[in-house]
Amino acid sequence: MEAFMTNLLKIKKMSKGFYLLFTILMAVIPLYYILFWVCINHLPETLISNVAPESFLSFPLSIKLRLLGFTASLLPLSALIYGVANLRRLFSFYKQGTIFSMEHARIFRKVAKALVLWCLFSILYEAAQSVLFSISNPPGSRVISVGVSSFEVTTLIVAGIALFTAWVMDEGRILSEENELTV
Amino acid sequence: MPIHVNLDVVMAKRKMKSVELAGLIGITEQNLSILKTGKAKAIRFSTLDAICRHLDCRPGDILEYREKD
Repeated sequence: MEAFMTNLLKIKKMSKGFYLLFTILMAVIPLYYILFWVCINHLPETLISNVAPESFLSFPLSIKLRLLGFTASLLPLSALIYGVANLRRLFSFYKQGTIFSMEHARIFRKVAKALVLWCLFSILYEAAQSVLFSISNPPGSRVISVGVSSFEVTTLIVAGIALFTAWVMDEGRILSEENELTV
Repeated sequence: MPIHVNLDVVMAKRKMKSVELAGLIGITEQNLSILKTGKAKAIRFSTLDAICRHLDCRPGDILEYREKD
């Protein structure tokens, strides 16, 4: 029992750190997307050329194109924020010492959903980026690049693991409830 | 569940209060209430042993099997 209490204290302490990290990320991630589109004309091409061959990129981008780009970025951004917000909520439960509950399983399912959405929206976003970056080119030099990389595959695998964890968490909740009702 | 807990009956016969018994067997009054009201899913042998010792009874006096109607 004493070991359990010590571990619970450690979990609570570490969760405070993760909770803070996800709180910061919720502010930093949208800021990163905004700054990316505001400063895109001043960024080195190596940072932005992963969506199309460098020869097809046409810079600087007009304000209209940058606004369109930022609008497109809202898709993966919203999925990412949804995921981070749920992780933050998960750690707020751990912070309070609640390890297993119905809500935990639900949060893991939501995180898995956010990862799948993020993956799909990232593919769309990168396709939109390739169009925006080459739209000022003469006809014949405009590109649309749609692709799936190892990053998307990894994200989908992590989403699958999160979904599986949700199932395990639900089983844990049943055991925890049973333990609470053992006198 | 066809297992009925007759702890309240035995306690009444022994004129033992919940707070007193909970203190004697080393569980919280809340947990004793869970046991008395039949909400418990399991009972530890150590708890059963302590209850029987302090109420001077046998497990069969506390736990009773009743067929479902």
